[in-house]
Amino acid sequence: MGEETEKKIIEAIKSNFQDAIEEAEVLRPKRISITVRNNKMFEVARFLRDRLKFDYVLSVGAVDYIKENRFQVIYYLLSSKEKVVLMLRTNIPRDKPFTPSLISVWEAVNYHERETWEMFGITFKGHPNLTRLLLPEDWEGGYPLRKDFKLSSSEGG
Amino acid sequence: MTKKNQTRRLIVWDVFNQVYKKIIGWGRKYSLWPAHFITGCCCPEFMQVAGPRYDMERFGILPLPSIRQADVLVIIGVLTRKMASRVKMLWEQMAEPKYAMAIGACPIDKGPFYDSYSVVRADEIIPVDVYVPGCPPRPEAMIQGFMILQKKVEEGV
Amino acid sequence: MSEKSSKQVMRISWGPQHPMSGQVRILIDTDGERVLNIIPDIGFTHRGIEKILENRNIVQGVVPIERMVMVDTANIALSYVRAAEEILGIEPPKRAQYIRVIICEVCRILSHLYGFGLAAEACGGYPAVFLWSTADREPFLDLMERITGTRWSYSFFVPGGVYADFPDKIKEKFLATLEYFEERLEAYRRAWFENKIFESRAKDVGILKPEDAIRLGAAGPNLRGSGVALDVRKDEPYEVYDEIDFRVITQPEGDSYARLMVRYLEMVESVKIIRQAIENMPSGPYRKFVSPLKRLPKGEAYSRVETARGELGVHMISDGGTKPYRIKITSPTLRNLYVVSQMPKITEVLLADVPVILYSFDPWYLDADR
Repeated sequence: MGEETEKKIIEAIKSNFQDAIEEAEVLRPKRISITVRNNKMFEVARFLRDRLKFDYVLSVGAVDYIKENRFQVIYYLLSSKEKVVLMLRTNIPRDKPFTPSLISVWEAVNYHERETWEMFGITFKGHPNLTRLLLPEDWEGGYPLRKDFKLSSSEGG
Repeated sequence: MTKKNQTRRLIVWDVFNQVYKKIIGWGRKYSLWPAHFITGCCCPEFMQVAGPRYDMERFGILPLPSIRQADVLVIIGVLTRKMASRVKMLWEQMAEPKYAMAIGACPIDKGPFYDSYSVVRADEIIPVDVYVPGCPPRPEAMIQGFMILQKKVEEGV
Repeated sequence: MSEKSSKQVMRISWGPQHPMSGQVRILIDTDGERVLNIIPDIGFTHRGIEKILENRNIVQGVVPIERMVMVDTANIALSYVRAAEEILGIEPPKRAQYIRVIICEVCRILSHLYGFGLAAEACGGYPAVFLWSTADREPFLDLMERITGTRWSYSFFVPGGVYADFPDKIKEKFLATLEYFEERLEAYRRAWFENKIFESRAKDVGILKPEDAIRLGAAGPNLRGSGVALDVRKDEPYEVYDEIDFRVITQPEGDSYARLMVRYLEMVESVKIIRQAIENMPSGPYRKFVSPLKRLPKGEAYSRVETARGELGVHMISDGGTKPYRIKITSPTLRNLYVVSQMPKITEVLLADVPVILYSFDPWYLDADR
């Protein structure tokens, strides 16, 4: 089976948000990845939920590209009708890690955004409860999943 | 009191003491009650020890809901910083005589998570009497751990 | 005037040491018997697996990640190994795929038996059904020990195939165990599902409508217990699930009884899958050797696997070294716990129903904490 559904989804996104989309590609059957400018995240998210029916949130994560001085926040979404996974990505600068919270679009991102804040230090503006989820209450050690937080077994750690 | 009577009294008291200690030791070692408490992933193997094939209740080991009436604090599986403060609180609530066991490779020396940022060793928190290594330890190993503890209980009366 | 109701809210802390043994603290806000808020406080078993896996190569990495859920290790290890194979661009031989499917389905049975036993104890204090489920795991653990060498955490999957082939005469042992297990399933049905006490405790308790299940992000049998037919084994068949005939189990009611019924019927389906896989398994090689010191090509892969608790995904990003640059694990229990915390807002929850609802979602907190 070809990738017609995936290609149609990419066409619909590109035709509605030409200048906000930095990258959009079909990685393989049933996997789409789009990178969106941070100031248009909210509109793209609403479009994905209402018009393209991406209604199920799998998770929210981030990647620390320390050499390029940026974070990349990734939302993993699933369409329950088409059964396609879409990765909604956005790049933010490492020294100003702010991004709008999408909790008003999908309320299921609640715990996942909290965990990403705790592990990376990325502030989700608009989240009602950015408090500790997994680490102990009196944790003072920094942000564990950043690349400059070294474990005892890493080189230089 | 004549000297002969005094010596006789001392001998009777000594014999009585020895028999008394033996009975108390027998009673204590066959009723070691741990509290319902698990910390990590070795717990399914502990459930199998409680099950019909390996039946730990024939040794008198019966899990108990309340920590105040428990004799043994069994640390089963990985111990993290957040749980460690609760373990200290539980240990201080227990009444004397009390014992502690560390089951699994993780509470002994962090196991496969040796370089994790949030795992601690059990004997940094409470004084441990018996260590049972394995990942997870076989049910027979856990029962042997309990038998070593029983010998310690009997001799320590 | 007694129009102004004086709501006195009491917060109960159901701490990490409690009779139902789980590594979580649940804060329950109640007004009398009515529950206003359920707040799970997790993180008691957070080991930092995502950070540790950045320091392990693709063969070593199976060991920490499969200790995420001890009763269901094969499905989780499969997700990691499939992501590595997608980046490397290799496919394991057919015999290895059949072996993987058989071990994964046995793990699904083990996990559902465990969840079943705990739910039985939560609903009526039924230590009998809990100990039955403990005893019925033993024949399967013996089988796994004969094949892989250990009872629980096998570390048997490796990128390229499996570590060893099935031993001789294992087929007869499988068929004997499955026959024994089918009699036991019949006993469970009579003792549990035709039981008035269980019906009164679990029917119409914690009703989750299908639109709420998708909106709040329920996973696995909890989603299928509300009538939504999402199962990765059918939506995106992996390994040899497209060559095996089985169906996706759903129940329309959405209450705790339906969720436990879905788990029970999934065990029946797993027995069917194992039988077919054993019959149709081809002969041939069981491993395509991949060196652990091999440099991974630059790229990324997102693999999805249906574990017993729901869909688990591993997103592996590689920058060309021997160890992955970033591993992100999508945990099903974290999604389920959010649904539990929203339960008092979508339906009426009484204090005595809280354990029944919580254990009908089958949470495993090491999965949520990673």
